[in-house]
Amino acid sequence: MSNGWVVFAYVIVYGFMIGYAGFLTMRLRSVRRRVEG
Amino acid sequence: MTGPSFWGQAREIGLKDLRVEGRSGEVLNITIPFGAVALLLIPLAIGIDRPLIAAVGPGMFWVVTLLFGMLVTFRHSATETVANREMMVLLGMDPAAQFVGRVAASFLLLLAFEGVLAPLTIVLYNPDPVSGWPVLIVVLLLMAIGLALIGTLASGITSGLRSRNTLAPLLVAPLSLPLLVGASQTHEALAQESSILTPILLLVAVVLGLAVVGVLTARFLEEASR
Amino acid sequence: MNRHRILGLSALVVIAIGLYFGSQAPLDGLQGEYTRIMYVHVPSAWLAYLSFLVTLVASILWLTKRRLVFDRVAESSVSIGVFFTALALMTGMIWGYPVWGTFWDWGDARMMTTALMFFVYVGYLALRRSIPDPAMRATRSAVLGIVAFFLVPLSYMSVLIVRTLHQGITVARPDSPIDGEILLALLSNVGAFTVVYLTFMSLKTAIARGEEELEEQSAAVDATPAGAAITAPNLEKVRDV
Repeated sequence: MSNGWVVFAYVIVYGFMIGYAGFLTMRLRSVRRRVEG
Repeated sequence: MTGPSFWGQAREIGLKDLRVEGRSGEVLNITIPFGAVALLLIPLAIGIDRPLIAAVGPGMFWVVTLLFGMLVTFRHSATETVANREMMVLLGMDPAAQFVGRVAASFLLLLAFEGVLAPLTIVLYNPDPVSGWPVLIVVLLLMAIGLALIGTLASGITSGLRSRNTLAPLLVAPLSLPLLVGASQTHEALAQESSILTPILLLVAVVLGLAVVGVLTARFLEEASR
Repeated sequence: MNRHRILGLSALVVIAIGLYFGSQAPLDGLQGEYTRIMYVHVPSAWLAYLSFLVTLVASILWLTKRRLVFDRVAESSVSIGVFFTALALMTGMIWGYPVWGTFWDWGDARMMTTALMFFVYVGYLALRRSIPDPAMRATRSAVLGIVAFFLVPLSYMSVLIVRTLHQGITVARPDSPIDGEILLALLSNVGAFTVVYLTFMSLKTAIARGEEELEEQSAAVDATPAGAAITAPNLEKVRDV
C-alpha cells in the first residue's frame, strides 16, 4: 500500500473519526460537569 | 356549523394573497425586474460568444427562474404577522387549505414571472428553436407549481425567524435540483429529438410528492408557528 | 460513560477487522491500488444515507408521538450524517482525481446527490440553531427532515437522466459477479462504520439529554424567588440569540 492517495484517504477518514469522537467526548464531559455543578 | 369547504377556503386565501400582492406590487415591480437584470448580466460574464450564449440560454432561464423565482414565494405578503396567523386559527381555517391557497397564489405569480422572462430570454440569448416546443409550456407550468410548493414549504418552516431571509433560500436551492434537471433535460430531449417521457415524469413525481407532503405537514407547521 | 466506552472499543475492533479484510482483498484490474479507497468511500456514503433515514423515521415519530427522545435522535443523526457525507465527498474526490483525472464528475449521480444532501442537512442544522423554543424547533425540523429525505432519491434519479461522461464505472463490475473477498471487505467496513455511527449517536444523544437537563435546571432556579407569587424574568430565553 505504497500509494500516497490511498494513504491520504485513510488518514483523513480515520483521523476525522477519532477527532470527532474526541470532540463529542469532551462536550459530554463539559455538559455533565455543568449539570452536576 | 358549516363554513366554506376546503377548496372554498383555499380559494379565499389564494385570492387574498393575490389582492395583497396587487396592492404592494412586490413581484411585478421588484422580483421580475431583478430576474431580468440577472438574465442581462449572465452573457456579459460569459463573454461575447454568440453560439455559446445561444447554447446556454435555455439552461440559464431555468436557473434564473429557480434562484430568483423563489423570492416570489417568500414575498412579504405571503408571510403573515403573528396576529394574522392567530386569527386564522380562531376562524377555524384548515391549515392544509391555507397551504393550498398560498401555493396557488405563488403559482400564478410565478407564471407571470416566467411569462415575462421567457420571451426576454429568447430575445437576449437567441437560442435555437426546438421542434415540439409546446411541451415546454407544460414544463413551465410544472416548474411553477413545483417551485411554489417548495418555496411555500420552506417559508412555513422558517416563518417568523430572524434568519428567514437567508435560511429559506438555502433550503430551497438544493431541494429544487430535480425541478431544474427535469426542466432542462426536457429541453435537451426535444433538441436531440429523443424521449421526453423520463424528465416529464420526474417533474410530475416531484410535484405530486411535494403536494402530498405539504398538505400532510401543514397542520404541524401551523401549530409550530405560534 | 460505560456504554460509550464499550461502543468505542467495539468500534476500534471492528475497524481493525475491516482494515484487515480491506488489505487482503484483490485489486481491480483497471484501478489498481486505488480500489482500496472504495473501502472507506462506500461505507461513508452508506452511513450518510442511513443517518438521514434514521432522521426521517425519528421526525415522523416526533410528529406523531411527541416524545423528546425522537427529536434528540433526529438531530443527532443529522449531525453525524453531515459528518459522514463530508467524508464521502472528500474520499470521492480523492478517489476521482487519480482515477478519472478530475476531482468532480458532473455525470456521477451519486456524488451529486451526496453533495446536495450535505447542503440540505447543513440547512437543517442552521434551522435548529435559529429556534430557541424546543417544541417549535423539534416540529419544524421534523417537517424539514421529512421533505429533505423525500427529495434525495428524486435528485439521484434526476442526475441519472443527465447524459453521463462515464458510463459503467460502478463499484460492481458488470461483466463478472462481485468477488467474494471484495464483498467481504466492503461489508466488514460497512459494519465497522455502523458501529462508529452507533458510538457517535450514543455520545450525541447523551449530550442532548444533558443540555435539556441544563435548560430545566436554569428554568427551575428562576422559579424559586419569592415563591409561586412571582417569577423572576427568565433572561436565558430573552437574551439575543
